[in-house]
Amino acid sequence: MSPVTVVVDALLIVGVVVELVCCVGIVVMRTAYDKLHYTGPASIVGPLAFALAIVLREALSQAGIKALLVALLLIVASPVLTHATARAIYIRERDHVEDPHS
Amino acid sequence: MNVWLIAAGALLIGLIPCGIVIVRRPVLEALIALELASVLNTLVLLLLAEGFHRGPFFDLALVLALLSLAGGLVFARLLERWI
Amino acid sequence: MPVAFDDGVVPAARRRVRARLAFGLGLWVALWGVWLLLVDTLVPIELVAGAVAAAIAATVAEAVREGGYVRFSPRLRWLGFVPGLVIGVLRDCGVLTVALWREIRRPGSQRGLLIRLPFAYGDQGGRDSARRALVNMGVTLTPNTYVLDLDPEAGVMVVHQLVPGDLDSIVPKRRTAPTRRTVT
Repeated sequence: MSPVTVVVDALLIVGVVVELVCCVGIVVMRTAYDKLHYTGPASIVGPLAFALAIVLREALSQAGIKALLVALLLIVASPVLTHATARAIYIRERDHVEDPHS
Repeated sequence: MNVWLIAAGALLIGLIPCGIVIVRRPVLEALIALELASVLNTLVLLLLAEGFHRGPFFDLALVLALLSLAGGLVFARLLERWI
Repeated sequence: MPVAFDDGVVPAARRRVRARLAFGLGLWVALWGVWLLLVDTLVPIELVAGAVAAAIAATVAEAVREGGYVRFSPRLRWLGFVPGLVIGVLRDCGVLTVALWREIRRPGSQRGLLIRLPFAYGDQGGRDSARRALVNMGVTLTPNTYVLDLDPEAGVMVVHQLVPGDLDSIVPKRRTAPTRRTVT
């Protein structure tokens, strides 16, 4: 087993563990505000780990570049979506549409 | 079968808790679970692309990442007041 | 009799045109590069298609910018915050993992807080708009905290933290008055 294969496998394990832990967090945490925190690592650490694994395997070929682009897109989109969702929860709570603490 | 396909399969298991939240919890928590499911699906496509060595799957993942952003923003905006 | 021309206005207009051209051309080249990266080939038809697509996109982007719909003028030195952001992301992943473990062991023990922080909203110019957008993005990027609202009238930023932490790291000290933590 070459060092590159070991690192690739480690990155895949890290990515999968992070994603699955975030899925558990979405179920376990009680309120919408608390659940929303667990989309962050899933959109940042997971994609970065997988993209780096692909780049290590494929170098900066088309596959590697596209994987990095996907990761970059998810990382940039994550705070945008989180803020928009948080704002929706906040406005609905403020306007008494729904109680996020139920 | 290779590590990429195994990783993709493991990520698919993560869709089950997302589905549970979408079905059973209020609409805003469902939106959060939907956003996480979109990320999972994008990553599954990425891993399948590498596992099967199919270039077009990378384009699928890229398009899904873009459309998930747009769709999530539309849902969040509509859920502020109108749904 | 020689006529004196007051061309104080013309150089400014020329500078504006040059700036717009530079922005448009720079964007065109960058987008063309992205196209070529994605198609991974230099066949003539792709070069032409990429050039045309990039020209359309750059034209639309410049028109939107010129119309004032998007005001975004960040400072280069704000890149200095990136290393701290990376550390914050990694640290907060650990914080969230511990919080999840505690919540599993004792359900209901972890509840986040809504916090209002003093925040100088600024005006609608490019610099302040960029500052607000990047502060919002930087704070929300760290998983333990995200921004819900920036209130221009009250001059506050409303954030939610899952595990109460250091608030002064959310907004740089030198830009704010001493922060006051209020739980709602």
